[in-house]
Amino acid sequence: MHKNHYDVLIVGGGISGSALFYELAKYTSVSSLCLLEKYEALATLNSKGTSNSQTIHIGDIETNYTLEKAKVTKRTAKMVEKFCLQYDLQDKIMFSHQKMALGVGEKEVHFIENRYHEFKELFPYLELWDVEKLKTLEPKIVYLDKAQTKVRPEPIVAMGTNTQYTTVDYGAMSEALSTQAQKASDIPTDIFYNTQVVDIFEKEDKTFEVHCKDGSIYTANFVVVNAGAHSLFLAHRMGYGKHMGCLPMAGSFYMTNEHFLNGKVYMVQNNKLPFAALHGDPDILAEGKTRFGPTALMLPKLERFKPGTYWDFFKTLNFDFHIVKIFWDLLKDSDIRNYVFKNFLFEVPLINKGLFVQDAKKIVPSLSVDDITYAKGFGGVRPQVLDKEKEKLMLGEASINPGNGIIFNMTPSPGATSCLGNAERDMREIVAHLGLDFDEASFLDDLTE
Amino acid sequence: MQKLLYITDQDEYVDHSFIAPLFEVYLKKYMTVDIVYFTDFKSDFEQKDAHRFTVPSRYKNSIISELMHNGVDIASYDFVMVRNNINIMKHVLKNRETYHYKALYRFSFPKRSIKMCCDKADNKAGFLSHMFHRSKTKKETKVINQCDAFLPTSQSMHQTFLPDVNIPSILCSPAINPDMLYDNQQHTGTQKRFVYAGTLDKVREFETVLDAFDALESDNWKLLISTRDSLYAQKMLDRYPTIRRQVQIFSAKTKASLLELISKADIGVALLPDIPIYNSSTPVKIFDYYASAVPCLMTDSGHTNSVFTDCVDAWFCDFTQQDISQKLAYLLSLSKEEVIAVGAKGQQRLLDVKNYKTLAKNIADALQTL
Repeated sequence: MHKNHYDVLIVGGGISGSALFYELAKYTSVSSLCLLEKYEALATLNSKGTSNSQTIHIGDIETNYTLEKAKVTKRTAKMVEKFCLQYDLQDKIMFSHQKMALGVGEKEVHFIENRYHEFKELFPYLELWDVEKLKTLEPKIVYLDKAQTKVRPEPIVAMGTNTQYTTVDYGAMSEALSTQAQKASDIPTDIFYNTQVVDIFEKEDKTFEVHCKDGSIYTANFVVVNAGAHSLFLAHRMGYGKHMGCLPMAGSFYMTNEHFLNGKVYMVQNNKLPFAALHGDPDILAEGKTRFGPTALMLPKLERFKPGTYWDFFKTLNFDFHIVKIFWDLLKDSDIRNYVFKNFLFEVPLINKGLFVQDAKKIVPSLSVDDITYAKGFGGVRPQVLDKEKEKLMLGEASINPGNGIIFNMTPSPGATSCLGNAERDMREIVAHLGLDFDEASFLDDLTE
Repeated sequence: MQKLLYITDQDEYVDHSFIAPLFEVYLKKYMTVDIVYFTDFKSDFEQKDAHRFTVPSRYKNSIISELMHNGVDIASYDFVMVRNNINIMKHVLKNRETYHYKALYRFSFPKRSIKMCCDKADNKAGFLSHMFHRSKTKKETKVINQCDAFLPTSQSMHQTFLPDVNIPSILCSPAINPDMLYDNQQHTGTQKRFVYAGTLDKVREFETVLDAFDALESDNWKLLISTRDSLYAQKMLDRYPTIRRQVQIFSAKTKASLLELISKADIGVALLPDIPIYNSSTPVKIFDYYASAVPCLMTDSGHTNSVFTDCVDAWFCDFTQQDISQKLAYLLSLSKEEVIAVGAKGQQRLLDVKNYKTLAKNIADALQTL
């Protein structure tokens, strides 16, 4: 039986786990570090380039963000950019595209115009693009027909930029983070692949024992679980986070058969379904073809394109009367009900493409079913958290920190963008808990503006 | 100082509204006023400043708990007022005993009745719609009667649309803002410039007004239309090729740009069908016109002639093509000075009888008596 003790052990080698691995190795006096990854490589699930929209969500075109939230996401998004620039990864794993939030119709146009003025101070590079400007920047969103002779009748306006880094292959960034972590320090920084954690126990001496499926056991003074929906699964097994359940939402994409959009085009989001707004993105892993999506379908498993995890889903859902109440409240709303039903149909062969095109036409009015194909193997699962105490669907990230040396993180979108920010939060907690030194000056200098 | 929480069903970015001067300026002289707006797009609660909150619209029916959750001390308010949304009102009433506030319902506009009229105009309103409308009105009345006070835009609107509301009533009508008056920018030349600002739809029957312009012998006029329904306006105007070049369509995005447009005109147009949804209160556009001392041609209704006098501080006519045409011809015959005089008198008349400063005092005094 393999047995090792580490100062800090991280469960999950996606972008969040790798970011923490990097920050601890580079900026703290941690004596040993371990990263346990369930699969044969880092970032094979939601952080993989094909599983998400590859976007740096800084908050400028994410129309569901408040100004306060955008101030926070701007800082964390810039950390991603600064990391990539520090290691000369621009145009290798980080790219610059034009990007915009598009308002269609009077109500959305009014919103975008006002939002532009409200956010301009925080993001001075933002521009407001009217229909004439859009004809040159992104003509396909302006015209009704492929020959581009007839302008769409409803008013449109966009706020956007073409001067910023916008796109990251978060799978490749996970690799870069772990590689740089191992280069940055002489301490043991071990990564074990094909090592699935099944249980974690708190020992009497306040350390933790991590049991793996292959029979190996690791011990650590501090454990951070960054394992997507499985974070909650493991928390529940330890008796933590019982007030939460997990609703895995699977997102699928459609790919155009040729280059379609010049940049990222995001739609105005509905506050009830902020994770659900359709967008078009040039795909850095598919020769710049445009990827439309995501759709959103509740999937009774925790990992997409991997066998099993159905039972884990039922356990993590933590089903009871409160969950029923949350579902009932959600489905009472006709917007959400229609959305759920429509997204179910998006997965039904033969009719899915036609229905999807109807929605995507809001971005490109001339789009037809012949222009797109279902992007097989693309898409991931977002672990949306259900708060049973408040009987609400929580939007965004969730963290369980009982304060005894273990943290569980669930980081659906924009979790990848905020990986280094979330890692900073956890790193500070670890530093305080274990009494470590933290080179804050270098950290701030390297990763913040 | 007493505290009022005003929960409006309006969007966070609204600025064409009547709310701004009354609740954000004048009422604040008598009490602390915090305002809740809603957003259809942002996901999280936002505190815009010390007195303004924005809440995602998905929390409309749990607004009190959502505000508490975000650190707003509901128990500190003496009054909680809800504008137009009966479901929010129900929720506020449910929490009244817990937080010990007076619950107020503000009825600014009969939105559902307007929708009924639009449906009627489109032949969509059947027997069932009428029954549903009546039953909803009954239910709404029941909810409002549980409040401590009712704030309709006018007594006439109260009597016409919610006659069975029998709780204390405090008038909360649109008014003129005495601190925001603009000069009328008179242009040279003899051409008369008319302006229409506001919604255009089937119920407003603006075709009657265009028919009247079309029937004029003189073409020494221009009509400026500012509307958010520019597509509708465009289509409608396409049916009037003979006067099309004399009509310009704008889409003023802000109150400031609307007032700027109005101030360039000589005469405002507030011609609306003489039906209860329009004749039970003074249309807001009239206040916008007179803010720039632009005199107004309006439909002769019980409400407008209780405020203005024909040919003294406004001009009246019936909402028929013939009557409008006659009045337009008369207006074209007036000198610039005569037009300016009517505008100045109209502005003064509104300052005397419908003024936000005095309205705020009246509301504050009335709230003290509850």
